[in-house]
Amino acid sequence: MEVEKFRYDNQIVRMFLFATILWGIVGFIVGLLIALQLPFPGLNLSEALTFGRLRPLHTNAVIFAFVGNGIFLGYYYSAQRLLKTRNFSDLLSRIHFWGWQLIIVSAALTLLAGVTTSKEYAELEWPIDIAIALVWVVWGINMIGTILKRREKHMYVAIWFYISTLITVAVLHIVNSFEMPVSFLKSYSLYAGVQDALVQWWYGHNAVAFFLTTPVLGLMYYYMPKAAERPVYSYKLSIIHFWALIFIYIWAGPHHLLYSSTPDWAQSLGTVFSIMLIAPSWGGMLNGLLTLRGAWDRVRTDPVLKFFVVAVTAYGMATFEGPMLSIKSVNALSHFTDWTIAHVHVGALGWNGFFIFGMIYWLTPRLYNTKLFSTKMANAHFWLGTLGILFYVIPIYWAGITQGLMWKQFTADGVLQYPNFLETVLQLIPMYMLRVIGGSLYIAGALLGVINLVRTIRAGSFVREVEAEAPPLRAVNPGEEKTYWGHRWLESRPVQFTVLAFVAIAIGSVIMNVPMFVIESNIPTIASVKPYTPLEVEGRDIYIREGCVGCHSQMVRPFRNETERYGEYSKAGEYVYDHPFLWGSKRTGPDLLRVGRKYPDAWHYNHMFDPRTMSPGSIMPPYPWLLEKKLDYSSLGSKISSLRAIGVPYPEGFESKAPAELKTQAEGIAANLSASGLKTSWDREIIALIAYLQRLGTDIKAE
Amino acid sequence: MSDKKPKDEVLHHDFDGIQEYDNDLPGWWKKLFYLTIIFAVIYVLHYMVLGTGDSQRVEYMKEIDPNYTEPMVELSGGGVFNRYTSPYLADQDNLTPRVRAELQRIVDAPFEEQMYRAMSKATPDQLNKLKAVFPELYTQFESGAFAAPAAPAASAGAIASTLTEPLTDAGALAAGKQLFETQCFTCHGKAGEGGIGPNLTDDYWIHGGTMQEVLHTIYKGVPAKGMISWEKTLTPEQMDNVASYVLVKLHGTNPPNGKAPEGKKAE
Repeated sequence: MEVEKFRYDNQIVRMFLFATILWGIVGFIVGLLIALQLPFPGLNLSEALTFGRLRPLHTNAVIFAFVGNGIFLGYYYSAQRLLKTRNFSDLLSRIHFWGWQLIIVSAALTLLAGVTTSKEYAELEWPIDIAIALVWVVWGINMIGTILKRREKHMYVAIWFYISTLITVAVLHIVNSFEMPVSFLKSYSLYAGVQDALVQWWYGHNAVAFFLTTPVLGLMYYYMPKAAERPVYSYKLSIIHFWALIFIYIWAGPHHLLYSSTPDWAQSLGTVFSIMLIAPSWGGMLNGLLTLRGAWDRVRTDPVLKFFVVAVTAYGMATFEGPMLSIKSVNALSHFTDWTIAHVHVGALGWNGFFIFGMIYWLTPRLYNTKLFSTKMANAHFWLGTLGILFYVIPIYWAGITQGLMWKQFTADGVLQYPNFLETVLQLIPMYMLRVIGGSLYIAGALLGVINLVRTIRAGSFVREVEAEAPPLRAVNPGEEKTYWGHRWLESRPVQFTVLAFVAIAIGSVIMNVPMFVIESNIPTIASVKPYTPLEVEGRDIYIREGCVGCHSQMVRPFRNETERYGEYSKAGEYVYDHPFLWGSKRTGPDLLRVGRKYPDAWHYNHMFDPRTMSPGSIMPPYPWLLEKKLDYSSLGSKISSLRAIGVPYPEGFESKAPAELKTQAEGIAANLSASGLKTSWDREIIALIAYLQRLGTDIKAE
Repeated sequence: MSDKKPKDEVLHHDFDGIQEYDNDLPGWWKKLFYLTIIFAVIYVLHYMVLGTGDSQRVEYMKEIDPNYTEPMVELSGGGVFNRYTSPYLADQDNLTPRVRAELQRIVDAPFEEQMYRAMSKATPDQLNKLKAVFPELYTQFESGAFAAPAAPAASAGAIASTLTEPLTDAGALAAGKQLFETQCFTCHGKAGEGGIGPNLTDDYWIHGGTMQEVLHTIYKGVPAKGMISWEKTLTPEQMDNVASYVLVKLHGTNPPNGKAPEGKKAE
């Protein structure tokens, strides 16, 4: 039989390896800093380093920089070998690599500068969004090209997961990122309020599904049997859990919006599809763990397998917990608390982190044609990391449940037992300190890993290219070729496979999103709800810039304890001019939807200067620069016209009147402040922020 | 765990050295999957199709008032995609079993109850007419014989405390002081000298300086001027204490940096 010779490209694998390690450490350290900022608010060192700006930097660094590069690292090594061909194009591989790193650097710089859309895990502004889409397409061409020139007739299950990742993330990213540019680094989401929320959490939930789950499952199907040197447990299970997983996952987004102003039907679908996800998710876990049958003795000695076992177990726990958190009564307690934070860290530290560590320990010696420098050190890393996870999640689960219960506690007289929100926060400080210990252990382990890898790399010599040979696909004599039916047939038809995977994720996407846009009864309008004034628009943009949404929700849920604490529960019609929506997902501070006109302007002024003057013991960062900085409203005109273009009914020609209107309102607030003895000029940022805060939730407030 | 031992037959193929078994799915896994699907079907029927499950709004109304029943409202146009799942209308606007049962209950209800129900929903104009025709029933209705489910509303002007004179016992005043210095000082100053809020030590009061007036200001707040309402944050006893502290201990002192008088001089 004719045999072709070719070479696998290890160079691109090495590039992504270094990037994964570098960004991993950066992401962990930023995480440690924000963990420290909660018990020690003095660590909000400067404007760029407040919790509000660092939190999205941490999430983006860990998800897209650490896990992202880790996925590409694992992909570029495994795909070539599973498809028996070199990557389609070395040039595209390199554009992919450098493009992705450039995106990460620009993300870090813009987030620190307060440039953000405020939509979780999609905070980056429109020019970076476009760059992400382009780089993703580059990876797509490279992947599809590689698949098309493969020398292996059938695609292995890992490739299925890579394909589903590729197409779904593209769809999610593009649809969620539709935004109306105002200037080079500012835009407004095309969607408003409830619609924005549903699209965002369809995206946000599936970023977890198709960025942190499916690609890593793909990696698992390659590296787990490789490291264990055992056959995969069940091909049948692969097929069933793959299709069930991608079909069901896409529907589950609204479980992030239970008891919010989203329609009941969407919430119900979110719940049931989340529940149905348990088995498909566990299918992946089972196929991983059962692959280890006959290799468990090696788990005791081999750090790679140890990391994999904990990773897959963490995956199983997180994917059981997720559906439980989607049950309404559980969610009523857990939502907006640290419970969610603990849940995602089981996934991030356990499943994603540990899988990538294991994979790197397996790959690096192979790339450098040597042995791992120290198995002992790798085992120490494993134990530090495992302890780190436990010390992180247990106190944070405790914190979440504690605070959730405190919020809901009524006295026998029927009044809130802890009416002062701060009281429920101060209760958590010891748990926040314990978390710092957990995070530090995890980082210590990772640093030990870096030393181990550096020593390994120094001892070995890099294998830039690996020779391989295989017969070309076309060489198979048609007469000898076996005819396959069913799934086997599909595995040899990448185009049909991709189309079918697209259909699988498109069904849920359409049903979850389209009715919100076409059925009016979904968002009953409220006549008294009016667009924001020019000053409020500017104030809202400051609220977005400072990342207030990271700690403050604007969603009063329909529970007695919340209406007692905050006021009337939120109505969908209140958010129709909110581009983007700012409901938030975590209450480190209280909900702000009904904060308008609750406190005097002077209270907000002092509170922003130093929260502890108005609220002793508060852990909120101070924002003294808002009092100094001049409000830049030079783009007010284009903000007004952009908002009008996406449906906010500002009258024609309002652009020219807006600056004067802004000034009048600002002078009113400055006069108010001056009456309380606070002399300030009307053109400071604080004035705009106060205007926005005082407006919040007042459109339907009964006088 | 599984029903039978895995067969462990290796498929003929390998991918870069990786082999695959084609073992059957574990039985318990399949059962779990079926179970979740059955759960999903029941859940969808309960909340979205039959309307036997409460929408979150009705759940809330019931939390406020356990006797709450949902009034008849027409929702249509979106089928199951309506804003709220519609317990009232099935497809093609047919009445659901629950609505039929509810209608039957109303038809079977005693005449008085039907009239009370009508009165509770009537406009002032209609109510006047009903009053003219059924004066006795109207009196009954007015007296609250039929308690209509009240929507949660802001509490009215009345306050729970009837104290007309400040408390003077040391315990109450000490508790009041402690409260003042942890909660009120941010706006009124540690010594009551004023700041964001008015001076509490002088003889001038914006909203009145009697015990009842001060209590009222604390209970209800003055939202327009930034005084927040404390009735949901503090207990009645705490508010008695702090009002007493202000009137007995702070009033008449002349702390440094006192804010200029505001409001009317008390007699």
